[in-house]
Amino acid sequence: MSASEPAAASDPADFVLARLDALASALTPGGARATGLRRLTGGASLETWAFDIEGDGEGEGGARPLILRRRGGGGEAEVFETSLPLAVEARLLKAAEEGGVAVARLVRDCGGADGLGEAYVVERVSGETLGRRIAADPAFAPAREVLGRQCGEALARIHAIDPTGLPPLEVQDGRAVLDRYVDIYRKSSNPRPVMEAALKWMESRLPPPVQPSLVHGDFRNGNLMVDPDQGLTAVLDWELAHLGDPAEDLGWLCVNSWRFGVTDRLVGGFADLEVLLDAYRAAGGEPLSVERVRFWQAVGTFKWAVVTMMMYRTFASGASRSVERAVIGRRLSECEVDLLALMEASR
Amino acid sequence: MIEGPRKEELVEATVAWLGSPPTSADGFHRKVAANALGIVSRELEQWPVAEAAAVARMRTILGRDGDYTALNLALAEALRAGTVSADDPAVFDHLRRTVLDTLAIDQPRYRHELAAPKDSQL
Repeated sequence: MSASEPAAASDPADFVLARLDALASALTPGGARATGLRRLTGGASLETWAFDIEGDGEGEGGARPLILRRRGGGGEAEVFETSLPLAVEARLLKAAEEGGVAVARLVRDCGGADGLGEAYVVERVSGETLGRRIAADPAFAPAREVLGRQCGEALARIHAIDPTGLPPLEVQDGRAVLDRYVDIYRKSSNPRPVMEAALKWMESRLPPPVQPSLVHGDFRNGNLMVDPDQGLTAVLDWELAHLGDPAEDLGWLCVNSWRFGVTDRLVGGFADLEVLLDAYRAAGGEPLSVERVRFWQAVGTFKWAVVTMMMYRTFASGASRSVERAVIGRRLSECEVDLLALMEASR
Repeated sequence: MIEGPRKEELVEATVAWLGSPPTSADGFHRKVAANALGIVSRELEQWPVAEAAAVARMRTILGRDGDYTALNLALAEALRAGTVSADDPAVFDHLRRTVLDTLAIDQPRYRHELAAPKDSQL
């Protein structure tokens, strides 16, 4: 454990560790101190920290592994300013857990008195989130056997959560999501032939309005904690949750960018669409047509195309001069290829 | 359909990085820089032929003359206005060829489901 490593005076780790130390007994019965604090993500304003709570007594079953999610000060500007407040995310995690969805269990929604600002603590679930490994590593072959079914079940349970018991969330149907990204596209780029053709295709296939369900909003390979043998252990990253068409989540999970090169397994590079849809229906989800999932897959691909444009804009405007930001603009061709492939499949 | 970053921007950003002080993240940035220069290298080699072919196709589709940028913008506007449709096989064939030529420059290893053009050797 490295909690006692010397840190720079400006290091937020000292501050976070002191606060967690003070919360030790609240975070776990008999807890005496926080140890092993380390930052798992950097850059964005949303911080994720791993740490353990240790007790003084012997034979207490050892340290309790936990995760702190916290909105830090400053940091690089987010591409989207749409993330939910962490207190709302904590409520969603609780509702998901009660609804039988595999999530990291909420331990504490940190109020202002905890001194951590906007933050919550969850149990630390073990597993892998790297999409490429989950889709292609031989060690994950057993997980891939069950993951498509598990995703269908998890999505059916998420969509079954009663929105009236949740904090108010934005309602975004197909028209609203499309309008939002078209607006950004028009402001970020000259008209592009493939984007215009894809827009026509999507507009002629807008699904009829539905009773809005809770939608996770970022349910994809990369945001799923996966055990090599047991498969899905936790659905992560709830900050884009909203109310809308449940097919949105299934379509986003099928976007080719999240298949990590295993293109013939439509669902996240690990399963076939029939497996996902069958499991979704068997777990109580409404029957969804392949066409409706395909529509949302196209919307998701279009959305990712627009994100690459925005990333490039931050370079072109001088806000960031990194090669990384510039070169992301060249990933637009991936999205355009994927959009044409979707259009071709429906011809 | 190259709009941005232009190859000049990729070279400029890479030169700026090479001239900046070393950091602990240089291993990562070195890969990004190699990727950027790989794109520039392929664009210099492949784009002139791809661009000329795209111009010829767009002249036929639109029935007018112009350079790549003007024709590409006109095609996008026509698709938006509905005076040209991607349901037209000649239009779809043009979009397919152009986007695959661009992908071969930008991300040649990207795996996807779009079929190669009919008369392709691939």
